Amino acid sequence: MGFGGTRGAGLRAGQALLLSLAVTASLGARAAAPARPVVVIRTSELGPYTEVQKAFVEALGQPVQALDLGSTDGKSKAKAALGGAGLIFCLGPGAAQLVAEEKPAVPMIYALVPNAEKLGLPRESGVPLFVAARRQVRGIKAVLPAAKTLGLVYNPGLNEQAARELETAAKVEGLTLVAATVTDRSGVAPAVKAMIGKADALWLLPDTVVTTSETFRFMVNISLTNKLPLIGFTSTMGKAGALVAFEAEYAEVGKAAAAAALKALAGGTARPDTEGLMYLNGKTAEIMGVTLSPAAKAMATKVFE
Amino acid sequence: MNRFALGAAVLLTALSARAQEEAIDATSAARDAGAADLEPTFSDAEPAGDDFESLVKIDEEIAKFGSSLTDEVVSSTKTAQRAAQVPAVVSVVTAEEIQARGYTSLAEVLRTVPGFYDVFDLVTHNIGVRGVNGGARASGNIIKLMIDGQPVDYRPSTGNFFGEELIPLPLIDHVEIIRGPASALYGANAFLGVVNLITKTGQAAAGVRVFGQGTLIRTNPGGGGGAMAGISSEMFDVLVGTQAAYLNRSGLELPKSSPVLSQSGAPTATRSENDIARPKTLFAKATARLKLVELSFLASVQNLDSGGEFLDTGPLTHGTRVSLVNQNYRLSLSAQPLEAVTVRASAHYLSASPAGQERFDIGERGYALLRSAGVDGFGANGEVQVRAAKFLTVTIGADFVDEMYLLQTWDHLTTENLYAADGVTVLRGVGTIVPGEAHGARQTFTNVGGFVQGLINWNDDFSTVLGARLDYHSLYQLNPSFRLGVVYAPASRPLSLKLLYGSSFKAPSAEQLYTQPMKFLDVQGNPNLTSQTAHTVELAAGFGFASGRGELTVNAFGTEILNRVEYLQRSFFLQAQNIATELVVGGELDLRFAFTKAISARLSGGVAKTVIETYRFATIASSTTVSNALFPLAQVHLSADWAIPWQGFHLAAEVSYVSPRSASQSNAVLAARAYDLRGYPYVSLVLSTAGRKIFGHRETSAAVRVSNVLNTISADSGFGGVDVPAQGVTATLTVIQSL
Repeated sequence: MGFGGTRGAGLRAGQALLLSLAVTASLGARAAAPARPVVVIRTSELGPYTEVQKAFVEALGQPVQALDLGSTDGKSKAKAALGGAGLIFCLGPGAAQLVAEEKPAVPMIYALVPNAEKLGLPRESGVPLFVAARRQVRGIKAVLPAAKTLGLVYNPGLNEQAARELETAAKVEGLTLVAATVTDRSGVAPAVKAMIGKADALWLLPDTVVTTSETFRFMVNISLTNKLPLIGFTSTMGKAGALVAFEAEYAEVGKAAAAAALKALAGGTARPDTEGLMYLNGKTAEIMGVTLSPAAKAMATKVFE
Repeated sequence: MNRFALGAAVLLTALSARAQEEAIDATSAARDAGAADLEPTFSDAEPAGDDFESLVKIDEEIAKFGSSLTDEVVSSTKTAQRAAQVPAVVSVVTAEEIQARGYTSLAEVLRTVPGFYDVFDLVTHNIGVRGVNGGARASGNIIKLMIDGQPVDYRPSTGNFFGEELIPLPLIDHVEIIRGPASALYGANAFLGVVNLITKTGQAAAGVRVFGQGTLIRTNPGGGGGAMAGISSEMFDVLVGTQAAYLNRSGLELPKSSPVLSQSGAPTATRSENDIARPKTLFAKATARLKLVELSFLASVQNLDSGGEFLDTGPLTHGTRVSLVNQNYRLSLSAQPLEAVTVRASAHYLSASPAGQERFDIGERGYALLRSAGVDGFGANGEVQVRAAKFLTVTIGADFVDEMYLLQTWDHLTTENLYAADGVTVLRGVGTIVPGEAHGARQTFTNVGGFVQGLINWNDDFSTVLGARLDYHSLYQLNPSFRLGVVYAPASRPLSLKLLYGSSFKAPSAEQLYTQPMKFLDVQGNPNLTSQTAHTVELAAGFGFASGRGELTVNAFGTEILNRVEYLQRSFFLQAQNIATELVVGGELDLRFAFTKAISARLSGGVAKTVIETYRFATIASSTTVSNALFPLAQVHLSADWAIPWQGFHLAAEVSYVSPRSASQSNAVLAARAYDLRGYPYVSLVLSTAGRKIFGHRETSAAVRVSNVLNTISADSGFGGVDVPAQGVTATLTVIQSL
């Protein structure tokens, strides 16, 4: 028994050794194989895509294979690159749609995609177009400490999930979200006007149905006339009359995507997020009789005067 | 129209509290009932792309109208309103435009504003409005010039300083320019226009900046410099700035059109000499935000100091120097005791007088003249603004001014020893000052005024303003002023329509009333002079192009002026007299269009013509009757801007054409015929850049402006037989450096 046991033990030891060698060989073979590249696919040469890509590559710290769908044979080159990619970073809806259709079996991260929900892209893989909801709510509370209710007009086809995130973040801070949905532009004006008296501020999401230059002009007028502060999603909106605006800088979007990419390459997952920048409009505040507290000003990157 | 405005104002003020409540309730109900109809319908004609490019495009379109939506104007109603909603014909010039165009004075800013025309006698800018110029020694006194709402006119003449001496332009946030009457709010002298310079806050101008200028007027070098500082904290906000310049305008000839050239007293010199200007200015304001109130202090000091080679007092004598100091100090407070109530009050002190270096060389051997004049005054005002209902804002105010004038007389300064008959005994040595007739005479002016204004926003589209003001002056008694305006400016569309009426008055200045003549045929005061009154009707429309590419504003006006002042000969002197009634009609156009993000153009212009003119006395020969003196029938300005995609440079070009102008009545009489000064083109080029970080992280802005590139030495009419030459090509390099 003892011998047998010893023999058996010797066999097991031999098997373990063989297994170890095999595993080691296998790992060695794997280590020796070239790493699969990170592929960046951008929809076009649009400036913001280029800016985000640049920041992404810098923060990633490793070379990437960059492809542009707008270039000659860009689409076919992108499709060919998908098979050998270790991770794909999509910039813009065109690139995201292509990848969503091809369904490669590698991690994918996307940014600057306003219609992610419509394309069926997983929300946790995308850098949101708007600044983290909790950060926005903190900023809003600093600017409008007396606010209790926030109004939101959005298109559910594009922003249902985003609206839910805002609602959750508002609730955490003791605010109530009053939301109105619109599916075409004809519904924008009544929905915005309905917020007068119901909401202490009106929140905007990146939404090409709700927010156009014309509707924005209308909303600023309503905002100033009725002292209903407007919360925009670009610094331009802050300059053009929104009391407060939150903007994720393109460089920050690129960095957030790179951080998520590094985690994904290490086998983990992390939803990319941006702290963003806050902008205030001093003129709007003056017209509305809103006193911008030092704390609010300190949080702001810039106060437009 | 006047009766209608009066009736409306009386009706407004006479409404009992109950009646007002009923009116408010009824209007609210009407608004609720019609609310659905008032909502704009945004079209899906251009379906929204749901891609990122669409969002970028939207953001770019919003950027095009930038902060224009909050470019509020306060001067028209003392209430912050969008320019489209303001019940006035208004233009706004921003700090960015001032920097990009390399402007160095308010006069340059106003040059391309439709409806204004500047006659610069190389000392002061006598700016006229809509076919009307204030006349001899007026210095644009038909315009109410204010800095942050504080009038800063030179009180003895009520003339204004529009030159480099007014304020360092880098301190300006924006300039609000109203064409039309505003006496219903501001009382005397808001006659045909209001210019209100709104300064930056200390926070907006945080830090220290120095600025320098190099100037070349034809071949004469000059320059200047200044500094500004802004600081702010939770409680304080301070802005201070100062500037001085040296400008050499010498080398100009008296225009050949000048009647004085054909008279016995024609100047022997042919060119101006020693025509140096040394304008200096200081501005400061400090605001303390306390728990319940906001306290502000404002100080504005100007020193106009210039050679006077083309004045009617004696052209090309090489010895005249005009030097005036003007000081205004104001302490104000504002509080908001209730959410709907704002209370403002202020007290001010002003002082104005000639400075020591002033003298007038009138071409007489042995002596020059020193002006003795000045004023010390104080005033106070208070106003309450109540947002009585969501759609109604009522402002009620009252003010008081007490000014003690040292009336204008002329002392003789001996410049050569005066000898007795023996040729040895010095009767009067060099430097002796002989007081002029009535030297030291003083007169107190007091004025009490009160106003009420109702601003009614019927809905998001329509608003109405009703205003009335009554002034009681110790000398020229009662002056009522009224305004009525209806504005259609829908929130959903970049469109506005305005129908406006306003009355206004120009009070006679102490100089016009009491000045002693400096010599034979000079201006002598007329104590019987009364206020000029104007009634103006305006119809204005504005339209914004799609995607914020630009806007078009047009307006037509008719102004009836009663008791119009002209200078007429009375015995051996000229006297301002209320002699005419005239009706001036015209219009203005302002078209701005952005072809691309980088290239834009602006076309502006105006026409103005007196169509009816009735003289009270038949003292003016028909051959010397003048209409629209010193103001062109038409002027057109075309400018283009190109944001060069390199180093943030900006290139701008301005091309103007000014049609012929009638010479002044005074010159027409001396020439024994009415005559016109020729029309002329005027071209300027500007290359500028802003916010460049050349020295570390400190921002540098720079602009090179070449005005009158063609060196057109046109002439404008002066007075007393003198016509005035244009300054000629002027290049200015302005650099503003943050420290």
